[in-house]
Amino acid sequence: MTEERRLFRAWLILMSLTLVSLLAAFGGEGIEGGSALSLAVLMGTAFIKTRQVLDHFLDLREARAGWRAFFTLLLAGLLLILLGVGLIPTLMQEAT
Amino acid sequence: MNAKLKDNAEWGALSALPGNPMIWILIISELVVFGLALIGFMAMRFLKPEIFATGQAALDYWLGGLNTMFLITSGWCAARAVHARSRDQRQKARLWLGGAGMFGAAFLVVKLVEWSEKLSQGHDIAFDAFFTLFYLITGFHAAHVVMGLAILAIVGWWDSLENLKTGTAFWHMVDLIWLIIFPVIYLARGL
Repeated sequence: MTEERRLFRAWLILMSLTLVSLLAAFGGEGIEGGSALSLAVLMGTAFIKTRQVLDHFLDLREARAGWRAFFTLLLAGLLLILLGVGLIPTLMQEAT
Repeated sequence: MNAKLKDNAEWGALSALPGNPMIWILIISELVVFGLALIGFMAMRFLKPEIFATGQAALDYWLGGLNTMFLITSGWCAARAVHARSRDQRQKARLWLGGAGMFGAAFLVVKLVEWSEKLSQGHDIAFDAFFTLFYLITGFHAAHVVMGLAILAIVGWWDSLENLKTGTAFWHMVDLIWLIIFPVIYLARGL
């Protein structure tokens, strides 16, 4: 694949996932457990999008496996914390 | 190791990263700073659910989505600029860089429209906890966009490949952070 095509594909994935996240945010309304699922989809798409920027726009794909793993852990850790804090109200409701 | 990494041999572990190692220190620092701010935002949302539900409902998620697309496209243009410069196509690189700057400026225009609309509705920074955090986080990010535009202009003028890589890496960092801010502040509603 040429460099131009690789960058275009990354842009296309980023744009598509932005639309997916917009749809996910409002698709869960009125469905039991839908908001929790929406939040999970939002954090999941954010993870893929940030990886696309790191790997293709910032060329992290050329770095050693250790650095790639570090950024995966940093981003996944942050997004999982955000997901966890966001889900506390739902988990508390289910517990009572 | 890739040829792009060989110039940074004296930076220890950081030398294994592509481009200028200093920019990666900045990227990690900014991710941590904004990450902590967003965790604080989510924690406040848990503590004051009604205020945050009302505040988030007042935001225009389509404007946020449009701005996300502007920054993504801007980042793509910046990456294309580096690619063109690496092939010694200086004019083409400057054009792509100009495109990156144009979409970045469009982001700021939309952001100003959004803020002025909220302010005209009385939602200023002191209105409630939601709007305090909204203005602080998006304002701090917008300050990075302004800085990024200045950096793009500078590396467009002094356009060595190294300068372009470093300048556009700052720009991608601004993009990266927005990709986390957008879903947390604009889209994570209803819980």
